[in-house]
Amino acid sequence: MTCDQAELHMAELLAGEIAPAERRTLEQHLLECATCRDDFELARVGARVEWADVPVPHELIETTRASLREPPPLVRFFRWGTAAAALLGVAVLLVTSSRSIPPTPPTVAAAACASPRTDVLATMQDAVVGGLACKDEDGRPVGDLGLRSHEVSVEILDGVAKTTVEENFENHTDRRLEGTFTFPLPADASISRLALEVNGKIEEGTCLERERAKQVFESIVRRMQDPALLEWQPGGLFKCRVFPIEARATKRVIVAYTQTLPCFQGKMTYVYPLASEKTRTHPPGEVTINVLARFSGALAKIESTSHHLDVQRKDAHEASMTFRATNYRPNNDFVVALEPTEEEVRVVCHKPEGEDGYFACFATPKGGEARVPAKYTCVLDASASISAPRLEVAKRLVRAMMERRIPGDRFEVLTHSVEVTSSGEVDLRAANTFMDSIRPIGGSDVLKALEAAGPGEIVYIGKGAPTFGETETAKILEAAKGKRIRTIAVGSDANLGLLERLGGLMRITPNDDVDKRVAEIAATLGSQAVSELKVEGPNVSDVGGTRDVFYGERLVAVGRYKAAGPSKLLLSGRGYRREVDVDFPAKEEGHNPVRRLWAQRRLSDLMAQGPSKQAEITELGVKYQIMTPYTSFLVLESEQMWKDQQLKRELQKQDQLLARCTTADADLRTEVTRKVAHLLELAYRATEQRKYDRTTTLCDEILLIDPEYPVAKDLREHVEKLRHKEEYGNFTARKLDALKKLTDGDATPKIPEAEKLRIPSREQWGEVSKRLTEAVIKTESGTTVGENEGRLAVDRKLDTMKVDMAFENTKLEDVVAYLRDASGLNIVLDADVRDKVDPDKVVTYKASNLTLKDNLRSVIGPLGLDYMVTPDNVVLLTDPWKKALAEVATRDAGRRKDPLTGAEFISPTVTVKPVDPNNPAQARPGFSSQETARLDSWDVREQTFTRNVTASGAPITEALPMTVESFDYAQGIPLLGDIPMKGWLFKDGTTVDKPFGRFVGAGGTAYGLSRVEEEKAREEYRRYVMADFPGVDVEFATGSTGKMGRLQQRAGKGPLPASPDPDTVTNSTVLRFQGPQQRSADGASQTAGVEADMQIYVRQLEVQLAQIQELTTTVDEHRAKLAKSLNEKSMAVAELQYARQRAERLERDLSELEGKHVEMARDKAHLEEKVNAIVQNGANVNVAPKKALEGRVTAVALEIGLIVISIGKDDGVVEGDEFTIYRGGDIIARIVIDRADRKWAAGKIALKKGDPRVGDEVSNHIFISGPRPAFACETAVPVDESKAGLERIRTKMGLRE
Amino acid sequence: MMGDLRELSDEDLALRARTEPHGAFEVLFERHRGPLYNFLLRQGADAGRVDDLFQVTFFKAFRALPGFREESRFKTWLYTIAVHVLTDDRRATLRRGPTTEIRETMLVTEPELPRRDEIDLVKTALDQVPANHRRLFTLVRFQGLPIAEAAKAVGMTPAAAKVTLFRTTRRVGELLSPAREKMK
Repeated sequence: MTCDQAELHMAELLAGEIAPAERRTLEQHLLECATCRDDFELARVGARVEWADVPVPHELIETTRASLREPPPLVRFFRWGTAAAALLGVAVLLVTSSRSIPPTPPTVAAAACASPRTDVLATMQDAVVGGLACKDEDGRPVGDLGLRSHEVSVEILDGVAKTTVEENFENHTDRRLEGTFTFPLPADASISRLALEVNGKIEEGTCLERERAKQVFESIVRRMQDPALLEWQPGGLFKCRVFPIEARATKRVIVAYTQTLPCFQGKMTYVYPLASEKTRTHPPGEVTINVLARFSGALAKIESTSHHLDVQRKDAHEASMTFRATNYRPNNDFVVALEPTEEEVRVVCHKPEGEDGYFACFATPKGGEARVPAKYTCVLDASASISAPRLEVAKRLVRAMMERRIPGDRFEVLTHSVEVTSSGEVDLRAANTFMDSIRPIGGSDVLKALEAAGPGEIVYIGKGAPTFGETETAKILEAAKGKRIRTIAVGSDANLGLLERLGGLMRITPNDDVDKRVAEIAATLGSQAVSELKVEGPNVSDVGGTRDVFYGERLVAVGRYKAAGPSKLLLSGRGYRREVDVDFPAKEEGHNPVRRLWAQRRLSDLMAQGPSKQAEITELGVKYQIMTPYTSFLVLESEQMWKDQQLKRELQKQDQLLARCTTADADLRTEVTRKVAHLLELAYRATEQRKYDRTTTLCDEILLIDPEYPVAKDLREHVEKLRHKEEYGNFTARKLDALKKLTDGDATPKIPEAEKLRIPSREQWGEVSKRLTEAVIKTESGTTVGENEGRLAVDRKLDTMKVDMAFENTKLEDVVAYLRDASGLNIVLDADVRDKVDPDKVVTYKASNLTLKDNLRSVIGPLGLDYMVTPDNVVLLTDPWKKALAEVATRDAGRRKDPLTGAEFISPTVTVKPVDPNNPAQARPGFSSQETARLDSWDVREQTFTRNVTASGAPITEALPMTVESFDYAQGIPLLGDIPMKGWLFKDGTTVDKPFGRFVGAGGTAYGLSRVEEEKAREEYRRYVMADFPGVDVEFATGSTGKMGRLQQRAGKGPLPASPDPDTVTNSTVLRFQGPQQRSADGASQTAGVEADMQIYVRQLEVQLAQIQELTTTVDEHRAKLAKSLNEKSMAVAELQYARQRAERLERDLSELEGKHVEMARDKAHLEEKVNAIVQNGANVNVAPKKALEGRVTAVALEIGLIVISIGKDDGVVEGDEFTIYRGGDIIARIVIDRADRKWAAGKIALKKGDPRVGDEVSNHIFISGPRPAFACETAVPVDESKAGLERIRTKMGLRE
Repeated sequence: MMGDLRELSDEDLALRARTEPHGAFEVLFERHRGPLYNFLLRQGADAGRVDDLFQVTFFKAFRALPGFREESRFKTWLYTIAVHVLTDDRRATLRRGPTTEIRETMLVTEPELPRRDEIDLVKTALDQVPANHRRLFTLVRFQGLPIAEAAKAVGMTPAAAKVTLFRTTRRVGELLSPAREKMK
């Protein structure tokens, strides 16, 4: 046993669960392994902990009780037809299992304990499509798998429907899953096939005896292989474990069940429960339902009442229909109504070789007596197990019955739970009132209710599940004997065992169309039931399925016959007798379902008789492959495994009929051909629909019939290829999808604080940024991008072109000419500078590998010239002053445009009004009386303005004496901004070098001005303008209208006082400022509005920008923090690893030490043994070790061999001690003390090498050579001897002089 | 009638609860409330929280009872619910962030604090064991569930449960031994 195993067993031992054999092994291990022993001792301490129970507080009990008063959702989702549900107006309650409810793992052990429990109520299941609930390998549930396809094929033969359901589940996860397949079986159906996809192949299940199946299953599960076991569970829900379901793969499960369709008045209904909450929320990828109906008699009518489908008729007996849909969310079940025209009694036979024959007798008793008035007592089940929908159905049934009463009929309604309540004799209205007051509650005492009913016919409506009073079926039946009872079972979980035997059972199940069924049942009121119906005949045995039937109801009775040949079959019941001539065939391969039907009926009869028939049930179940409480379906991985398990597979004969009938019977051959053709057609269709799995299955079926059928072979191969191709395609598509998703996810980026920010639309951004860029470019270079490509080319050439130059005393003009030729640029010496620089001036210049620009500068710089590029792309060598002027002019031109609106700023206009128009001295070119001229530059301080009025365009600066008459800024125009402030000298000595300042917002942001500058500008404005005009004050209004500075005239609107400088006012020219609004009437105000809006917008953008910047900073900070944390984390991890390593090292050391300890302990034990041996030999080992003693020889009596030494008892010398006498490191003698005084001791010489002398050293140490080196000896030792001793010691110590 | 019910086994009662929910569940409640309350108490939450958990567990069990399928014993089933409730509660607590409750627990685990009695000692020892291990340990040690069933309740395989159980027991023993000596 290893220590790991020991851990398991120690846990078992402490929990008292250990097996005796294991206990012994464990004990042995504990004896051997000290570590485990220690662990165990510790664990024993842990296992002995005590923690006494405390009582539950009383209030807690009460409050918990109170919280439980609300009734539990006992019955789940009782589905009726949609129409019915709407009519009933019943709230549908769906209970999904709460997360905290423990998942119920499909354990075999749990399933095994189920035994047939006809007495216990089965849980009502929502009859739905089978589901595959999965969990991954760590046991985490992943929910139900989606259905890729759901195929149902229904074969209705003489009213017996075989439904084969093929479900293809898709594992949508990336993990391998284990699933539990659950399949709800419709009431009175029996499972006849289970097949599972294993390694891409369909493996058929086989019905085995339950215990055996379980055994095999468990033995295989232990080996981690993948069998599946489908077992009978009470309640009609079947479960089976499915493993493995590979990641992203599909899994097919096939289940088939058989049921006899209820038939009344010649009408049959087949229902496939398709609609459910599950299929609505997770619709299957594809749904296909194929229905094939065939009757021995004619099939008068067949249609789907739930779906509009075309019916393909083959002949009078056979028809088929197909329903197909993709991503279908069914709202109702799939219902097929059939109306066969049948004789009253029809017998169908099946006789395989080597077996007794089977017959099925379909009888629909006709006739019956005329209805007579009677007393009816309707007993309604009102126990808590009746849900509201069921009760509603029961009520409707009572109403429907009462509506059909004939004169003289009397009705009474009884409800029963624990108590019985009677309505007394009632009419319809009173019955309604009575029934409305019913509230289902408590247990169900069926017998009490039956006893309470008076004479007349009793109609029992409910579940028939007694839970109170008398609950034993036999006793209830006994007590009810002699009463005329008919029973109507409501719900699929009714206790049919009791109700059937009480008499005249009819059922309403969730799959029924409630209204129709209610009407049908009500119609039977008053009609007689054929009771005690028997089917007899000579030569007939094992009859099953007989029961009470109403006239108009269809009875399916089955039996066996021994001898072939003509015979008679007698159907007899109370008041009914029919005799039918039958000719039992000697061999009949057709009508194969009869065989299964017989087994099924027979089994249900046997099961009703209880567990005593177990052996018989098991045998039948195995033989006919029908799942019963004692038989289970087992699916193994391969045929080999069946052989390995030495299991005989009972062939599913009835399902493989067609495979075997190869000869003789011509009809059958035709049928086979037809079947093959049909299958092939289906296969082709499936291929078209890309259902390759289906095609493969169909081809396999065909090949089962004819293994050499080439078409099927080819098709199968073809499909395999297609499938491969498709899978590859799917894979690629999935990949693409995933990639798409990756980018799709980014389509809506999340902007932090987006709700607070106002983000302009893409178009707005584009526009704004374009304009802003333009503005910036204009500010910086003075030209617009793309405006002048030639200019750019010139600049580029100047910057990049390299010219070698070597001139000596060359004329400047020639140098310029050379450069012009070399560069191809129009380099010109400005004519204006000719007076300053002589073009004939000679220069000496030499340079290589310099750019044109540098060369130019080097040549003309010393001459006091600079170069500039004119708008005509002429490189003009000119005066730097002129260049600067030109630059300012270009830049100003750029400034004159609003970067946002692109509109040109309109400078204020001046109106020049000569004081004396007749004075020619005041006449200035370009200024006339009342003339409005464009003001380009106006200097407030100097009170001069520059105007471009000369023909050459050169500015003329004139200082005009002027006085301001009035300001008219009523509309708050941005005039202030248009006052050029370049060169303004502030009081603090700084200057404004911006050509324009312009107030653009109430907050005071100015283009081209910083806030500080702006403030200065305001101040200056006040100081200069207002100081000059004391009657005027300036007020900067704030507000959201975007209107700027507003000037107000403090002293009314009258003329301003004269200029403070009387000298300049002599010529009293009046300047008048006029805002642009005034100038261009209405358009201007609009522009101002737009402009104002834009300004607000810009402000907002600025605020947003600030916010974004702030957020960016925060994000950066967080990022930094994160990085820091990560760093810390990695450091911590490193530390942890280091600590771990240290711990490991320590552990290793510890184990080493332990090893040493063990060794030492072993040595010790060894030594102890030796000691013991010594002790046994009589030695005294209990002598305490001596301390080291040293002394001198004080007296010597060699003649008697006695030596006296200088130490005695006080020093620790005792008699018997041995001392060695040394001299100079040499052993002289050894003495044994025989007398010890306090201060001295005397001993006899025991060993003598030389003669001891007085002064020699004594010691009880055992040295090889004396206690000390000789040179440390006392003087009593002769020097020569000491030297010799020293020498010897040295030699011994390996020292040389 | 209640008398009849009292004679039934837990599992039969659970089935009977389908028809007689209140009566049957009342009996089940009576049988299991004490042990369950103490089980929750032993998981280290304070008394107020335990009351809540207790109610939630029984409420959930009552709601889920119609779905009880006899795949395990009723007791195991009930404790499985309790374990789920505890897990949910723990997650919720973690989501809420540290509360005074946790701080108190931390205080209690200070080794210097003197121990009142044996239960405190055990509590302190158990506080140092992971929650799931603690559940397993208490289920086996105090609630008397067989290891296999306790394993099912806490969602472990039997083998893993055995190893975990043994190690937890040893750990508890390890934590208790020195403390006990100190007490003496």
